[in-house]
Amino acid sequence: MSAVRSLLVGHRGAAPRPSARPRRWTRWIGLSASAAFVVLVLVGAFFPTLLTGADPLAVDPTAALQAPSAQHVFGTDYVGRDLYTRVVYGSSLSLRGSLLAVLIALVAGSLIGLVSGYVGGFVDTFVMRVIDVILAIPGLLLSMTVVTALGFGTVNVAIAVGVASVAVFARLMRAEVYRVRGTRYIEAARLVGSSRLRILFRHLLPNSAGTVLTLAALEFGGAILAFSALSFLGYGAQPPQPEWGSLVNDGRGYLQTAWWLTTLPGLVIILTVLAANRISRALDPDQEAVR
Amino acid sequence: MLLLRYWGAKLAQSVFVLWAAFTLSFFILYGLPSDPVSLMLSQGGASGNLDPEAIAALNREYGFDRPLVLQYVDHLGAFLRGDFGTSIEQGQPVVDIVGRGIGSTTVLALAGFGVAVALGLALAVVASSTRMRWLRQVLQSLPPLALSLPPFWLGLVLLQLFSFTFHWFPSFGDRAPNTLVLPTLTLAIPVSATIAQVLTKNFLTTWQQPFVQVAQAKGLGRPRLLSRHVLRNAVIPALTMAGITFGHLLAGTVITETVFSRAGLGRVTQQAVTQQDLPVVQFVVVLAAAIFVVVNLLVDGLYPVIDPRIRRRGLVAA
Repeated sequence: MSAVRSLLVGHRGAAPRPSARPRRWTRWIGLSASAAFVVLVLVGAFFPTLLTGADPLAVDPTAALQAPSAQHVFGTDYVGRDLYTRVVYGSSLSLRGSLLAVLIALVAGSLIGLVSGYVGGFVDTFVMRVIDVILAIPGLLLSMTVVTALGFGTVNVAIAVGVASVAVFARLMRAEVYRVRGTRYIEAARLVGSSRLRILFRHLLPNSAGTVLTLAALEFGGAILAFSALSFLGYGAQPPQPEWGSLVNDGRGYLQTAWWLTTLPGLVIILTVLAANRISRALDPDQEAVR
Repeated sequence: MLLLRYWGAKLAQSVFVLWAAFTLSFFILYGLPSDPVSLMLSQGGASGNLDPEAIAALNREYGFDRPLVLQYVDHLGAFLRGDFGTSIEQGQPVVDIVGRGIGSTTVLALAGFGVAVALGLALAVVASSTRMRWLRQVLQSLPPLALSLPPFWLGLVLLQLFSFTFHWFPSFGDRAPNTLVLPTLTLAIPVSATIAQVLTKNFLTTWQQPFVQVAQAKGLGRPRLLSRHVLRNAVIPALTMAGITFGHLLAGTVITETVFSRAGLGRVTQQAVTQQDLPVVQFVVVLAAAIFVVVNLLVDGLYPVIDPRIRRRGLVAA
């Protein structure tokens, strides 16, 4: 996914779009609704008790498989656990996992790109060739490989998702280093005798950080999707701990009788991804101009 | 001579991709601390304390106790001889295990590819040539929406609607042709969204090109203009995506086959990860790289056939 995305990012702005921009106020409403939703989900992730007073693991066989109602907004599962509460607590593992994944990709990818671009020469050629190969392997397969090696669990899945998108960050960071490297102030810094490390961390890094951070925001939505896919496949937190992907998987056996068990957690994932993408688009000046 | 050098470079590049995919997956799988042997023993029913002697013996048998570099050289040599190893869990050659699933998965992936291209192309053509602004805006908002859907959720919702509510399609099975419809859609929709995004962008750019405007000024109608000028020029840059697209289809079958309980390569991969079956997982990664390489070589061979400009320029541009 990320490889194709980088392809798209590379082309952006090339096409003059004849369609008119949507009106200001509709954009403002979309953006603030997205921001509000993301804040809500983040509150759920870090302070779940603010959104629900119930226990995500509390079993109540008398209330099993109840449809959504005023008492159980999202309904209940096959042992009577409140689905809404489980989704809120699920956001804690899923969102923190996705954040960790992006952080890993951001730090590792930026370092690789920074060093590769600054050192240049043979090292740079080789590193970039390897990055191209990583981009050629589908992200899900790469993540599954890492999971095979590390074993299951929320943190391991987060690492796996992070490793799969290291390449995109490395590539962008390197391009940024190349752009900044040729500027006058770098030349000036070198002339006044700044050391290589000083130039790297005082000049190159801060001046390329903006673009790379924008990509991090853009990758966040993708990380949520990748994380929930691996969790759906059963590699994440082990039951009864709830994760968004594993909640959907839990409901698979009840498609006929209890639609809410798969549909509602899925909708929460979709809304979070859409909101995250909307915000990251607003952060990216190029992208926003095109839309 | 030029042609020879061109294909020589392409081949060398392909070999490098395969080697890098092998090496990368090897060091991730065998270099990181994983313990497939004790996992296998504990799954074999021997719960409780495992016999350290037995673990050591099995580790020796699979060569896990040897230095990593030696293991790497051995594995690479075996791969080059066409020996792709033996599954740790099932004790059968990896090729046999993968071979059993590959037929059904190929059918699914090709059907998915066909539907994805058709959907993506149709959406891009309508979105870029319609004069109704609202329609274009609606159509252009569809791909980002489709890409925000978790594929597993999409599959389950399709099942819920078309199998359990309307009873149009069976919910499981992989023999009858109508069992293929829902998995194909699940696989195709995210891929078609990417295709539609790239194509729409290309189409909109091509509509603005001077030669299209000249043809328009000379009085060529829009349908003719679209089929003769815009379509051909806009599709060529999108071909570059084909290699990555097939990789995504392969990865997509992991989810699709799990959701629809179909036997196939995706299912084999999913189970291999669950059982930490290192040789199987590594083979699938190298297979994905091989598909990428072959599709890219095919596309490179196709360019001059589709685009006469490349033919005349004699491959220099590529």
